[in-house]
Amino acid sequence: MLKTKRICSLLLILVTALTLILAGCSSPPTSGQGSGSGTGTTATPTVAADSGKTKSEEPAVKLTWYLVGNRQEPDTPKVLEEVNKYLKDKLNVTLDLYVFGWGDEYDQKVNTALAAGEPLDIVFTANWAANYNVNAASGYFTELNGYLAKYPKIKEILGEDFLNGSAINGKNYALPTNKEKVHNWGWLLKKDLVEKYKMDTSNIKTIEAIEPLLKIIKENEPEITPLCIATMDAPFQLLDWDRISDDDVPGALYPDNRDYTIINHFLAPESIEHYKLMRDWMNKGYIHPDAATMQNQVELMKSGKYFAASQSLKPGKDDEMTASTGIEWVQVDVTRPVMSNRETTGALLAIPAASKNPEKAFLFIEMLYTDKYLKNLLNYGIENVHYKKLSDNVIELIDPANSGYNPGHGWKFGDQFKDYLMSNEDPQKWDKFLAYNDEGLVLNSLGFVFDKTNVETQVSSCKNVVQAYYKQLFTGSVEIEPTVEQFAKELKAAGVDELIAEMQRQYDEWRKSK
Amino acid sequence: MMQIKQGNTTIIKPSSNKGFFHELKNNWQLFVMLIPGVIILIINNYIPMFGIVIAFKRYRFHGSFINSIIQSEWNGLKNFEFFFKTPYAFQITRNTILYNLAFIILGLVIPVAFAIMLNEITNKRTSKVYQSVMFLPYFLSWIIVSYLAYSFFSIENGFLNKTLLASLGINPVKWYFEPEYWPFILIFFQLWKYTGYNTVVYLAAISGIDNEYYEAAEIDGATKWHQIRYITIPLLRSLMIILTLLAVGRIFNADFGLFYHVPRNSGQLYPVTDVIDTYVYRALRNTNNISMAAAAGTYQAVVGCITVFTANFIVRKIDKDKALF
Amino acid sequence: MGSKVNTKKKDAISIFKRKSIGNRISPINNILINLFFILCSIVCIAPILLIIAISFTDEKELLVNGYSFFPQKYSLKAYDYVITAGDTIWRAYGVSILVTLLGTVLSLMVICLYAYPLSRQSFKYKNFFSFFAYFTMIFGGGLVPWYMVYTQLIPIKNTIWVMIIPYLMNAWYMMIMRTFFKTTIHESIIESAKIDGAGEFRTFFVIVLPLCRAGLATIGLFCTLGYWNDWWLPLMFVTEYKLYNIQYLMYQTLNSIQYLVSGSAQFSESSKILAELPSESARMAIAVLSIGPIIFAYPFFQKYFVKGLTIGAVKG
Repeated sequence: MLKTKRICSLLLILVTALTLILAGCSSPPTSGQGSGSGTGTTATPTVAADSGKTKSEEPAVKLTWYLVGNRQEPDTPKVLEEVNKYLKDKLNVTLDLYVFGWGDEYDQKVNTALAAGEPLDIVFTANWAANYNVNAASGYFTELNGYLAKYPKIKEILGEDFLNGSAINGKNYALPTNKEKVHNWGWLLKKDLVEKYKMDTSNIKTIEAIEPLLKIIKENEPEITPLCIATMDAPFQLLDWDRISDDDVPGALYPDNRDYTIINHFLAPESIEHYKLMRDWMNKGYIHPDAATMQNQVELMKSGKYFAASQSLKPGKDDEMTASTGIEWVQVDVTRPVMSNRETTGALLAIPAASKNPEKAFLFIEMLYTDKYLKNLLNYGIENVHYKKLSDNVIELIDPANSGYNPGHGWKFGDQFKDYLMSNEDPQKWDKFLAYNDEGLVLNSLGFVFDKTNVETQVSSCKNVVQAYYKQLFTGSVEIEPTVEQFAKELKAAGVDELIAEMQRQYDEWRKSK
Repeated sequence: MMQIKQGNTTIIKPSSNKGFFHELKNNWQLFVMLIPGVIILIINNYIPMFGIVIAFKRYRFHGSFINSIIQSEWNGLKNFEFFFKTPYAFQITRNTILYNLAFIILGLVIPVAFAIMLNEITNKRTSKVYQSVMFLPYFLSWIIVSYLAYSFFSIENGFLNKTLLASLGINPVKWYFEPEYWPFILIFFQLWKYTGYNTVVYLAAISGIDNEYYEAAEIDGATKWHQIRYITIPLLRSLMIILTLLAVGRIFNADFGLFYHVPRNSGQLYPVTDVIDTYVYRALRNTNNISMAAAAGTYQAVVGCITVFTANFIVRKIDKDKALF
Repeated sequence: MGSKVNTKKKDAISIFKRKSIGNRISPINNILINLFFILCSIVCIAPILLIIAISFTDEKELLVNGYSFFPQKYSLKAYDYVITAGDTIWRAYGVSILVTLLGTVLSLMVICLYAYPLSRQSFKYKNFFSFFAYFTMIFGGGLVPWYMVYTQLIPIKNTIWVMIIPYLMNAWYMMIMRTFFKTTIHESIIESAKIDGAGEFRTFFVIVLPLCRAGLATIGLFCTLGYWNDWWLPLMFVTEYKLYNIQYLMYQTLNSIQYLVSGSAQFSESSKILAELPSESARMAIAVLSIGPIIFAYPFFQKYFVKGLTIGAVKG
């Protein structure tokens, strides 16, 4: 025992000594040695007056940009060369673009780099990747209001409403992409079957209204499963709860501005009714018995063995899905378009607090909103190498399957309305988008950001409870009454009441201050 | 041997200070051998350990990492709360420990048995083939394994329901909704993946055993069973103990891939498939909360330390030579 | 397992063989054991064959009929998809091979050098250093401080070394190696070497290591696999596309899919992205390509491994 103690104390001394060595090594601000080092500097976002203009004799500033995507496209260096040539005269910066895979990969890379204070200049963030709210609240992002006031172009393009929607307590930490700003929900129905049975889809304005169609399919098409459900891609979405936090965190408002009371939407009467309907449909054979373990709705839709799928819609969604699944679809809009936090924080660019050149980074981001050439260069690659122009605004990709640069970045940054259109797209696409944006109902909660800090424990517990139950309920795979009872009990134990109360408190406070 | 041991104990007696320099002077070559390893361990493991303070702070970014650690406010044990203030605290702890116990026991018995059997096969070439083939599953990632598992257990199209049970006239089983089967399924996949790997270690150890032992035993008329019982297993014992002790230290850490991907994250199965690592993953996904992540790691490490110290203490009591440290 | 004795007389010739004929198990037991292992082998190899079959299966067929060992429609499209991703995959192979070779050799050296003194009865601080290594297995400082070490203290981020150095010392393998040394090498051998005037290093390289070939081969194999299968270090430290290794490429694809299909990504474009991602068969093709070379490397290891055994036996 004595020996162990001695070993321990020796270890302790060693560790302490090493800690001191490390602290000594890293506390003075290191000047960019090697790649991606040197975190010592405190980058306070000061809006310096003189650095706005570019002087050609100054050495070019390097901007590092992390973006989410499928992969780093092989021809990225070629495209960056073009970009840098162009940027040299405009801003005197060079760009370093890194694309990392969806999900864990991107989160891991960005979150670690942010926590370690690596001097990144621009990162992509959203409510689903490198979590915008959390990272902004943790102080990882530079506040941009000063820049926005100084360089007002972005504000003009995005509009006050939308920009405010992504602000946290009145402060903007990131800039949203200018794209569709509203969403609605509905069905995609398999076109050949709709035509075969001469279905009338004009009257489908509720979830239940589709049942007769499902019935026809069930009775006449033994090979086809009427309804396609996988994980969160379920008809439950058609209830369109205005969620306060993540998808799997209880707490939402009705999507029609009827009141200001936050409820646990998983156990709201409407939701329970919906679960029962799904149970009924499951028993009638409208839903696949495996549905609760299915993982990929689009892949299921590709198989051609499903008739209807719930989807988030926008103009031309049916064409888009027809192109990507190889099966023809008809779009049936069910819910009314609304503008919610889902869109305002769906795709943003932020400038990390550790960036050494926040102002240059901001000016570069501004160019993504104003400079059509730059936006399309990053989006589609180099003209006549990666794409051909058919007319002024319409292009065609050269050999899309084997293209060295086809990243699909359009919606991730800047002004999407400046993007060229593909030859197979509706030439009116952007006009329709703009009209669609105007149609949307602006929800009361737009711009409210829930701060989890005080209830982090409850949030994580509730998340786990929801994860344990939602798939069975959304697909009607289990008896509803006892499951809901058990679900409610566990949510209560997980502290859902405190969570909702905290949401309500913050929401009321936010409304007062508005 | 006896002499050396005696000499050893007499050296240990004097005061440690003199002992160390004495040892350093006598055995400097051995110390030189240790240097590369020690340097790597210090850089890779000991220096980062100071980061453990993050688990007790509310980490907020202040310019740089070191600065952030210093300036972030203390948070006491609040970061650990998400772990205990959940209705599942007992369930995930129980699952983690029980599965690990099963893996430790089966991961000891089965590979040793396999190694002994493989060693007895007359034709060495076929033995080699078996060994290679059983190693193959080790190469597959858990994500791929989960696709394979699904091809068996899928309710409508799975091999079991569609072919096997149907031909036996048994009603299809909703595999992904029925928790009672999953302890066996998970244990099966774990063994399937790692048995070949572990067998190789024991096989190497067996082949290191001096053949004279067996020849002598045979002259004495020992049966094959006796040879295994009284020669092979005792000589493997120190390796068995070491590997078990190593595994015991990680009894609070579960194989994330196995428990997350193979059951396809099916909520209905959580009562038997949810372990600490999957719980933490789901709780902290999409949060970038390095304080809570550090807290979870610290908790697992502390409990691991306690268990391994206890186990090592017991082993020391029985046989000092076989202890880990 | 309970094989019976074979009470045949000891053959004089058998002394030169590894195992005397008389000490073999009976033919019946031999057949039974063989049958058992054939069964095990089938259980282990069938899924691999299935994966290979899937990677050659037509995509539509997979969705409609599910997995099958003998698909009705073959297709090479999956491999086409993977390989046309430019020179990426070949470069990734290069990185993987280089890292694996370099890493295995260095790691084996570090591990053996560390394990050997700890196996020596006469080394007084063996317990301390055992603990020093073992402690790192259960206790870690967390991700971010560790990340800081390789980006700040020794800035090797985005170099080949960052995929090698963190795994050089593995406490687990070190402990196994220590046990190998302990059980194979009698202190008396070392003592006699000492009397002959050999220094510790000489003893170690000339006498100890050759005797422990089986252990070296085993740990070497594990190191090789460890380096080959690693995607974690590139995930943490590599942002340069040129330095991606093959496992990381596979991780990137599989993980992206896993994420997108898990329903965590609730954004309007997710369905479009999903449609562009590689299909099930392409995923399997990636898996096949990523494990391929190491499977070919394994027999070589085994050959060496067996050779090591026989040499050990003659010497012992």
